[in-house]
Amino acid sequence: MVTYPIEIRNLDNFLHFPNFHFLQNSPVINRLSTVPKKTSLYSFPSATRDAGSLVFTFYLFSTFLLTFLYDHPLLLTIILVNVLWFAQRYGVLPQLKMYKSMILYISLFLFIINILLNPVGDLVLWRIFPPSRFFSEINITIENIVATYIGVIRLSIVLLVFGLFNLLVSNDDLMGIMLKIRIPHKIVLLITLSLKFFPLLTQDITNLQEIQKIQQGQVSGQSQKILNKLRTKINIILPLLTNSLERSIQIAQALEARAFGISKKRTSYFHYSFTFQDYASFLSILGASTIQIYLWVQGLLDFSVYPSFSSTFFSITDIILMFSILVFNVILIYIIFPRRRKQ
Amino acid sequence: MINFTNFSFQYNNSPDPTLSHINLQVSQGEYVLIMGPSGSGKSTLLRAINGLIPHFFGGNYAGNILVDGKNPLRIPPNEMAEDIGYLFQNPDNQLLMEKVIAELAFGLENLAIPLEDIEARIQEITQIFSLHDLIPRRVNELSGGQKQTIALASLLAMQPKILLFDEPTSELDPLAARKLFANLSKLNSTSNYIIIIIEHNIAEIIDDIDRILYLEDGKIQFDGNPQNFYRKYEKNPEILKPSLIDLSFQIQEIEPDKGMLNAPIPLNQSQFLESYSAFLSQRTFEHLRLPQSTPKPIEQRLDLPLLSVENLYFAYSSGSEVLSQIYFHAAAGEIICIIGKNGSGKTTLLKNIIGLLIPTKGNIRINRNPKTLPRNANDNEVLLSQGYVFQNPSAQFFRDSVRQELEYIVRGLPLTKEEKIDRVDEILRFFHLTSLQSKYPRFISLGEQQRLALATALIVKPHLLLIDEPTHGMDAIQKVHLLSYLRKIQKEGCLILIATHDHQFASSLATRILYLDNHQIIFDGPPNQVLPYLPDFTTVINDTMNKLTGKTTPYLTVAEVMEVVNHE
Repeated sequence: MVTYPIEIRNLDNFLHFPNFHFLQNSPVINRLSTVPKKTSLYSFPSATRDAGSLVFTFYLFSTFLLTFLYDHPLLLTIILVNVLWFAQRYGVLPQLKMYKSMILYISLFLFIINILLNPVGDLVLWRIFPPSRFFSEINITIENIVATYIGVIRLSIVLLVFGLFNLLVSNDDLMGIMLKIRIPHKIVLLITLSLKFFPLLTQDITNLQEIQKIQQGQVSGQSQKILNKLRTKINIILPLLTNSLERSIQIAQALEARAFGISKKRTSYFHYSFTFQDYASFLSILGASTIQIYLWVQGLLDFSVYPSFSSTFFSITDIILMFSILVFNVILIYIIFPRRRKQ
Repeated sequence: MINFTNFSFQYNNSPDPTLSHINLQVSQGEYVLIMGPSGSGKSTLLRAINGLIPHFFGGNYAGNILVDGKNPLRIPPNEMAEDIGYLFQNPDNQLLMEKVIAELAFGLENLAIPLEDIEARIQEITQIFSLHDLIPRRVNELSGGQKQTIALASLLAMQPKILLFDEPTSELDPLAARKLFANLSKLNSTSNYIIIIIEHNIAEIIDDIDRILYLEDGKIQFDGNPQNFYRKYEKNPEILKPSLIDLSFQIQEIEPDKGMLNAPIPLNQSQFLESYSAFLSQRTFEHLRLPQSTPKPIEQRLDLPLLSVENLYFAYSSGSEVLSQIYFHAAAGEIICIIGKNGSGKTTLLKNIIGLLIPTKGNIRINRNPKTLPRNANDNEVLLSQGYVFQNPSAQFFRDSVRQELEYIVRGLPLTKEEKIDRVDEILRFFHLTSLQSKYPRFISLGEQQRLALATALIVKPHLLLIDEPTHGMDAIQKVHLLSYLRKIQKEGCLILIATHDHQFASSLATRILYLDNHQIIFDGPPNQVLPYLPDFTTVINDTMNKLTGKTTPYLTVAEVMEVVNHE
C-alpha cells in the first residue's frame, strides 16, 4: 500500500488563527430573566435615519415613468445620460457594468423582433433574400433601426434604474419611511419585498448562466453559434421562474412565521427625519415630473416610428425642451439632491 | 401544550394523505426530534403546529390540534407566531431585512411591541447570542452560520413558547452547526421552551433530546426516548445509528458474553467510555497503524498528475482575496475532499479549476489537456474533460424530462445516433434512473436529483469530476447511496474533487483531504492523518479514541476501530 505523506503547510498561520482552538466556546446563554428588561440605546447604532432612500426612490420612479411616456429617441438618450450621471455622482457607475452584456443581448433580440414583426418603413437600407421561395424577402429599414434604438435605450434605462435602486436605496429605510408617511404596511411590504427579488434574480441568472457555460462546453461546438446562444438564454427562463416561485413561497412562509400582517397596529423601531434638502428634492422632482407629464398630454415631444416618422428630430421647441430637461437634471443631481449614500 | 387528536392531512393534488391519524401530546420543556425517511410527513407535522397547514398549504384535514389552547387549524400562522417560532432550512430566504438590527426588530414591530420594549428585547438577545459585532452589519455580508443565528435570535426576541426547526443546519459548516446546537441545548436546559426539530445530523443532538418521533408513511411509528428507539431499530439497516451507538452495537455483537449487553445505549462520549473503555483498553491501539479499511486511491501515479494547480491566486473584482498560494497535484482515481469553514474558498477553488472563474495568478494544468492559463469556461476542449455538479442539483436542470437532460448533453458528442442512445441508456442504468426517465427533473426526490446531476456530468466520461457540497440536505441513507455511487465512479479512473463541509462524509469517502483556511491550503494528506489534527472537523469516533488512548489516533470511522478490535 502506498500512503501519502501528510503535508502541513503554513503552520504558523494555522496556530495563530483563533478558530482552531479545540471546541471554541459557544456563545454564552444566560437565563432570559437575568438580563435587565429596560436598558438605554447607548450601545446601539443611532436609530434615527434620514429620508435619502425615499428621495432616490422618488427620483428613480419618476425617471422610470418618463421613460414610458415618451418615445422620442433624443429625449430617451438624455434620460439615459442623466441616469448615468446620477450613477457617477454617487460613485456606483462601475457596479452597473454588469448590465452591459445583458443590454447587448436584448438589443440583438429586439432588432430581430423588429425586422420580423414590423417589416415596414419608407427608407430601405438593406434587403435580405431568403434561401427558399416560401419565405418573403426581409427589408431592414431606417424605421427598424430607430425602433430598435428606442427599445434598447428604454430597456437600458429600466435596467439601470433597478440597478441604482438596489445600490442606493436601503429597503429597510424605504419601508420605515413609507410606514411613517402612513402608506398601508401591506402595500409597503409588497413593494419592498418585490424589489428585494431583483438582486436575488440577478444572482439566480448568474448561477444559471454558470451552469449553462459548463453544459455548453459539454455540448461541444454549440457554444459558438449565436442562435444556440440565444436559445440557451431563453432556456433559463423556466428554471428562473421556478426558482423565483420557490423563493417567494419560502419568503411568504417566513413572513407568516414572523407575525407579519396580524391585526395589531404595527410599531416602528426606527425614527425617520426629513431635512430641508429632502423636501426641496421632493418638490423639484414633483414639479419637473408634473411639467413633463403636462407636455406629454399636450403632445409636445411626440414621436412615432411606424409606419413612418411622425416628427422631425430637431424642431426648435423640442430641442429647447430637451435641453431644459437636461439642465434641470444636472441641477437636481449636483445641487439639490442629498449627498448621502445608502446607510 | 401541543395536542394532536386523530389528525390527518392530505395536500391538494396529492393522491394520498401525508399525515394519517396522528395522536400526539408534547409538554412544556420537551426537546423532540422528528425522524423519518424523505416524504414521511416530518415537515408537514411542523407546519400543522404553527398553522401553515391548512392556511398556507391548502388541503383536506380531519381531527383536531390544540397548541397552548389555540387551534392552528382556525387561527392563521401569523397570529400563531406570537407563541411559535419557526426556523426554516435556508437562512437566505427567511431573513427579510437588509440590516441585522432591522431584522431583529421586524417581528417585534409586527407584534406591535412598544418602542422601548423592542429596544430592551434587542439588547437582551444581543447579549444572549453575543451579537454586538453583527448588529451594525448588513445581512448579506454574514456567513451562513451567522445568518442562521440571526434568524434564531429574531425568533427568540419575539419570546415564543414553542420553537420549531426544519433542518436548521443543512447550510452550515460543522462549527456553526455545533454552535447552533449548543444554543438550543442551553435554551432547553435554562428555559421552558418546547423545541421540536427535524435534523439529519442526529449524532450532534441525540444527547440533548428527550424524545424521538419516528414517522413513516405519515404515521407515527415510534414515540419514545432515544435509547428505546435505537434498541427497537437496532437491526434495521434503513435506520443509521450515530457512530458511537453503532460502535457499541458492533462491539456487543462480537463480545456478547462480556456483560456489555446490559450496558445502556451510549448517547454521548462519556456514556460510551464508561461502558466500553475497559473493553477497548484491552486492545492494543498503541501502534496506531493506519487502518486497512481506509479509502484508497485506485491508482497511485502522482508522478503523472491529472490535475496540477500551481501557485494559484484568486481575488474578486472588489479586491478581496479568496485564494492564495494554492499548490497541489492530483492523480486519476483519487477522491479529494476540500474541507473548510463556510467562506473559506472551497467553491471558489472548484470554479477556478473548471474555468468559471479566472485566477488572478498561477497555473492550472490538466494532464490530457496541457493547456495552461488563461482559459475560461468557453474552452470546450477543457470542459469536455471535466464534469461539474453544483451545490443545488435542481438548479442545473433546464429540460422537461430526466432523459432529455441527458440527451441534451450527449447530442454534441462525436458519436453516432445509436451510440448516443446507448450512452444515455447506459448512464440511466448506472444511476438507477431508468424508471424515472420520463419524469420532470424538478419533481423527483433530492437523492434522485443528485444522481441525475452526477449523470449529466458523467455522461461525457470526464477525467475529472468536480462536485460542490454533494450531501447538502441529504439524510444518512441518501449519503450512503451517494458514497457508493462515487466509489463506482472512482473505479472508472475518474479524479473526483469534492468541496464539502460534511467532515463525516469526507472521512468515509476521501482518499485525501485538502484543508482550506485563511485563503490557503493548511493541510494536505489522507483523512487519517489530517482530520485528527482538526478538532472542529474530526469525527466523534476519532475524538473518542483520542480520549481513550490519550494520543492523537488515526481512527475516524467505526469500521476502522472494529478493524483493530477484530485484529486483536
